[in-house]
Amino acid sequence: MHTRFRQISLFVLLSIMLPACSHRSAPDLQTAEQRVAQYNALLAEANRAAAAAAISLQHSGTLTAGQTGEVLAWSERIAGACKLVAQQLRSEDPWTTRAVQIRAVFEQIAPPGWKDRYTEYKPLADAIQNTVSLVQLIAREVQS
Amino acid sequence: MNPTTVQLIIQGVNALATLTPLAVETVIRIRTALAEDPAFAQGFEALLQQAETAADDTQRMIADWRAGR
Repeated sequence: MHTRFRQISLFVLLSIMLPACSHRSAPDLQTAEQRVAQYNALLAEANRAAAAAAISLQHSGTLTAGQTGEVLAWSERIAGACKLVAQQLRSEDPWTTRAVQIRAVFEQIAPPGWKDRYTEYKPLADAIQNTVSLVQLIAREVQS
Repeated sequence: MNPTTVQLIIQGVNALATLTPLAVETVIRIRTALAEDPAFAQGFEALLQQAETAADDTQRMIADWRAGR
């Protein structure tokens, strides 16, 4: 069912966005660093949503303070990583050098072991999955 | 960008990360689609600022939570 959901989501997304491909594309949006910049912006937004969802669930009594704390500790690291990536993307160094630095940032951050513990809380689970997926996509862009 | 569009993009991103057999072709399509969306075709610096603003907000939110605010 999860696979089916992903397939439907992807179909909906492509159905909406692919008709726009008839327009000329901006060449400066096709570089790896532009893609990383896009993914990083999305990652920061998804991460903010995850933190907000965890806090909201704790305020409603759904999550304990301990559970919220572990989500927020990871979220804090992601936020720091996003800022480091933005800093690297501003650098004048060659892309190959910056890619190595960005790779090092995310090598420190593994998918959280508790990721599947909150699947019943959809806003939080979705935000966490979005964050994990975006980290993976950035990692692909900067892999050697 | 329309919040619904953002959510759909993120769902597509999730699918990208896990549908391995379609990964290569799908990544190319998503990249092209992102480049074509005029709302998302922001300047490079704007994207960096967006990331930093969201990250700052997150860190502030977490600090407030820890302080019991």
